Amino acid sequence: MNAADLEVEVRRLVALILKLPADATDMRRSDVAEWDSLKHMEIVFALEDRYHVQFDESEFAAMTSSSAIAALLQPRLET
Amino acid sequence: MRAEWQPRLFGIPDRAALAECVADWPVRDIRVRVHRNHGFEPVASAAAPYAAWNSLAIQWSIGMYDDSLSGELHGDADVDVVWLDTARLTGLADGEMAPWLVSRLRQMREQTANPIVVLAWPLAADARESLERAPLTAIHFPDLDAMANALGPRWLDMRAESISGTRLSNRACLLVAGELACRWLPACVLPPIKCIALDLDGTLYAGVLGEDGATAVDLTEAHRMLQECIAAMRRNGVLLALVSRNDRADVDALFAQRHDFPLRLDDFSAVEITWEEKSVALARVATQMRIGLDAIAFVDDNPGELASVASSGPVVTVHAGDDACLTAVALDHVAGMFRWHTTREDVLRDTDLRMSVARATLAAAGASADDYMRSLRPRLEYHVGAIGDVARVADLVRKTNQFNLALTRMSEVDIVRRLERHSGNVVTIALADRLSDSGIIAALVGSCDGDTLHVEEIVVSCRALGRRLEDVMLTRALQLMAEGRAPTQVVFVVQQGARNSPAREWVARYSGNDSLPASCRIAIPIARVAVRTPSTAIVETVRYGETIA
Repeated sequence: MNAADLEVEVRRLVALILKLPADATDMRRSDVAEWDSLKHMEIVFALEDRYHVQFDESEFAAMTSSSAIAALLQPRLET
Repeated sequence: MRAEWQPRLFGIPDRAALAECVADWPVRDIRVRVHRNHGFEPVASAAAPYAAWNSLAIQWSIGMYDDSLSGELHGDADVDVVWLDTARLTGLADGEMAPWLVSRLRQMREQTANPIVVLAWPLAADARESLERAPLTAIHFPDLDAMANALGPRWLDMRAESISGTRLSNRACLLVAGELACRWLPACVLPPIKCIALDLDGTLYAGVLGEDGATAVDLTEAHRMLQECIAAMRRNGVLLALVSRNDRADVDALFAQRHDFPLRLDDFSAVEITWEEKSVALARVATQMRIGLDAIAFVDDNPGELASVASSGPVVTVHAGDDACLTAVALDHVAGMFRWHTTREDVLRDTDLRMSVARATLAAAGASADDYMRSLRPRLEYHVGAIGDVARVADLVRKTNQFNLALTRMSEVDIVRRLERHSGNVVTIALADRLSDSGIIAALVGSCDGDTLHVEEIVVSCRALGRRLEDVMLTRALQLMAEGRAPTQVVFVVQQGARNSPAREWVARYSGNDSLPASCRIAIPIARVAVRTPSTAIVETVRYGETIA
């Protein structure tokens, strides 16, 4: 999957967990009130289930937007 | 669409796939208060699709973190859930956990009559045993330790604890969410499923009987497991029905020749082998079993059949997909399939139902009332103040739709509270005859205030109706309620429901009224219940229950 497609897919998944319509542009945690810490963990869990990966605890804080998440995911999916 | 959800709900857990499941059909709300000392939100968010698959929506009211469980209960709810990580209770020494939790639950019980589901983990075996033995009414302790053992190291995930507030993993939270929404909460508030109606081809085996033949249809390992699960459900009191488009001779040959099938033709209390619409066949099954369509779970491999059945009535449908193991898991997660306890009456139901045909034949033979009684030799056992029967009384009050006078749906706790005030406030009636033992088939719940005996609820199981015993047994039960007290009148609380005309017609006739308003109280002089002329063929005994300390 190329980076652009992955970013769209991640954006869709983030919106799904937050129960929001998927944005056409990057979703940033700082801009979305619904994206609180509990929802953040749900997003992490949903990503792990969907892509069969596991994030390190130290990466949770770096997942500040749908594009940042996609960037973290991309190398894992290539291996 | 429900069929499409099944692999997502009961296959490999995937929180993203669950989030995509949003119901577009009507759902019934269940209001749940959560008392917790660790994060519950990852469970609550995952429970929605499991609930929606069962046409339910859970309205959570999640309290603040509270290790002492001492918070006051706010707002209305149908069920209370205690969500406890006992490792956080560092002030309790070994052996103190169970007594402490019992004392907290007793305090909670003083504030609410709701069923309480206690999800406490980890619990030592002796602590669990103490909790299960404690005299706590309508408080249930699902075994999370068994679930933790089954998941092994995947039960915990320390990465998320500081954020989600729980050390339970995503996998553990999804598992608990499914059990809560499909099994534990529905078992607290919904009537149980009484019948599983099963298709044959593609459901109980792979293949088509009419084309492949009895010996060639394939009982795969997964289908064997499904049949074994269904056989176990039958042993726990769920009735089975066969509803299949086939030729009867082929079906007879199938069960005669396939000795490897765990299910036998005789296991089915109703057999509808017909080319008619399955909704029509299911309606006949419901009539034969004297149950509502909403008490039937129908399993079929054809989504079109399921959709047709679902659109014609309130039957719950389960899709038998390619993986029969998944079908078994889905069936086990139909709301109302799980029960907190199996009563003796559940197990007796199948035989009792089969004997009803013989009773109907006797009644139709036109014998006199006395000859009819002599042919059946009924034995009625009244139990006054039966604390041990409270669960069964609550079952009857919750499940009975036809002979249910006030439709109070009162809880186990409500019933115990009446018993605590006076043992005569609750009387049960057990029935047996020469054909079968029906167990406890009726209950009366009420209270006596001055000169008035208030009858708040009378329920009679549909299995006992039509045996010409209502007047005799209910009059005797009313006498027993009045015993030792001095009422001058009996007041019946009467409500109109969708299907309780048998109870309303009985009380109208019994009280000498031609018709009744939808909601009313009917008073009759106590002298009316002093008159009773039971057939000499009826044997009656009375037991008095244990008193409550």
